[in-house]
Amino acid sequence: MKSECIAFVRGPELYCQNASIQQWTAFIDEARQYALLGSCYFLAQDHDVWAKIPTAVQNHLVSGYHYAEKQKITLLNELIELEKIFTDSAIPALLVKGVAYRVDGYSLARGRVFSDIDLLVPDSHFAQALEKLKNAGYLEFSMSAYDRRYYLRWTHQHPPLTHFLRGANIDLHHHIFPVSSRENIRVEPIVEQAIPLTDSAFSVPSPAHLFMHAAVHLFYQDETHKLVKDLVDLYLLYQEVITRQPFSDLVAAAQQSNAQAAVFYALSTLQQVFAIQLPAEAGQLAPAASRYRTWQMQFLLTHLLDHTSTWHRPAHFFWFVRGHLLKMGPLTLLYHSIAKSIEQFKERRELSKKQQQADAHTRPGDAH
Amino acid sequence: MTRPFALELAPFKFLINTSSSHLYHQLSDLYPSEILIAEELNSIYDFKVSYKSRFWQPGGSMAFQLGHQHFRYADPSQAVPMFEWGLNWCVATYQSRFLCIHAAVLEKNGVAVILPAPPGSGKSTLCAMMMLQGWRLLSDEHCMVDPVSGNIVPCVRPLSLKNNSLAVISRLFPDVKLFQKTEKTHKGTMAYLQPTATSWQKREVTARPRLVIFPKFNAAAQDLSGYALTQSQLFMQLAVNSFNYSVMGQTGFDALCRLSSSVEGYCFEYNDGQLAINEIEALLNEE
Repeated sequence: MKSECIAFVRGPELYCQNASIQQWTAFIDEARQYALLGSCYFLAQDHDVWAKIPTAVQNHLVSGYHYAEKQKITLLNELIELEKIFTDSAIPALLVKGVAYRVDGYSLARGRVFSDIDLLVPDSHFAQALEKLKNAGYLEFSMSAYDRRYYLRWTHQHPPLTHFLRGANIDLHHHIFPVSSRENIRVEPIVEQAIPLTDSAFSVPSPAHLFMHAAVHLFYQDETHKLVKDLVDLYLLYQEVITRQPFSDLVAAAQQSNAQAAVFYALSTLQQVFAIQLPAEAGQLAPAASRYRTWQMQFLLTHLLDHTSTWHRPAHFFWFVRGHLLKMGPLTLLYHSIAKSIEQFKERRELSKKQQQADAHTRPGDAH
Repeated sequence: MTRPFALELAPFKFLINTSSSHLYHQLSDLYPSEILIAEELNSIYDFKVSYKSRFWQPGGSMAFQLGHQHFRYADPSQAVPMFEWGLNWCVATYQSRFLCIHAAVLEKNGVAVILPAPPGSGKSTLCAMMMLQGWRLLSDEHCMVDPVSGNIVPCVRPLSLKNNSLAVISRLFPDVKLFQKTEKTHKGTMAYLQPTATSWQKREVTARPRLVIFPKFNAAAQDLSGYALTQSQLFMQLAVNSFNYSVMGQTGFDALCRLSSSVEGYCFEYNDGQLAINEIEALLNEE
């Protein structure tokens, strides 16, 4: 295991005792890249290892802490605006992923950086929620016709909405998995068992459902640039979830939603990467998982996390193909790949034109 | 492939991976040999920079990157200015341990003068003149306020001069050498001044802030005129000129309150930088 962040999260005490100077350099670089500086700041405090961390590293953890605190304020402000929109409506709206960790008081939310606010509204009320958001100024911005159709036809969410003044991003989900996939993960139990927040128009998923959602997210992931962050999130979330709900609830939630396979893969990944001890009940999920997929995920993750491996680069490609195949099946993927390549070629041309224009307008004193 | 090398600057150290076989040599014009060195096994590097040419980019352009974050492409003939801007970008964007104000800082007799200013106001020229008259340079770009102590943390780097100020400095200080002159960058002609020996030597010595001057060079002005800023005006002007005030929340607010209540602030308008320097020295000698 070559990821410094994962090694730190797995055992902060041990890491701080043994890390070499070069490891600390790699740690700063990796934690900055995966936006984990803030999370590591709080882990260092929780595990009482702050004093053992070199000053140069502390400086960057403090930077991460400031950034995350600023984001927290931005998020809470945006939630005040969202409350106004959904209050007095009969729309069952759930805050999910990072926002849910924050508002439901999970300690993994401290120092955690997020990029958008995720809402889950079931199909029955989806159009109504979308209209309310659009009327309040959350609009779709600059997306090609192809990308827009991609979202609407194949994914589990609407194209991202951005507030026209504040720039806040909202991902409005109707499912937690791509509708184009062959899986049929039910979202209804999440909505039915959601926990209403006090004095709020919103609810949050139960701890077991939050974990299930994160597990499904990891299983269908095709990108690698957030992989370390996703794994750290999943591990920290798991640790908290099992203090809030018995493990058997995790199994039951997976069974009700038809997500046994994804939850099983997630648990075995945590076992592989963070050496967690799995209760015997985890075995009940095994029949739903394919041996091939379990092996594939373990193999790819091993090499994705080890940048010295000769399989490191190929693993990125296979992870990408694997994620896409799971999302859309081979024929759709072929169509999507060709269309997307043409799109990206056009985008790149557009981008270099934009840099030239920006250069032409730069004044001598501009900061960079 | 060339070997990685390091810039052992303070408070941040950089590790540079580059494909350019010239860059190390070019930078030796700007950085002394105890700072521009081979990778040290005993140093923790704050920023691992990649500065490599991309074969698919026309003209062998080099991409300046920090991790996966891309800053800009640079034409090889402009490698040095883009590299220097890249280092500025790393500091301005990725650290909020210190409150960072877009300003020059110089020190004499243990007290620091901060010169924040919008682009084109003559800040760098004034800063160069002061340094060449014996002031210690802390930074010509990043005024780093330590929220814990309230002191200014030096961030010594080569002093960058643009366009007209090159001729001004050459005329006033004919013996001073300007290095790595590069024409036709997107900001015009650039060149660099080496910090004085004492500025480099004391690169880890902090200074207590005493004065904040917002300089404005105006060839049409009558000598020098100026006015004092109230504490609240000063606070707002510093906040506007800060790179990371909005990120630092309460810590940034407290640091800026402390700074703006412990210094005097003035706006100067002048047709000769020397008048501004004389006035700054007079203000410091007053008390």
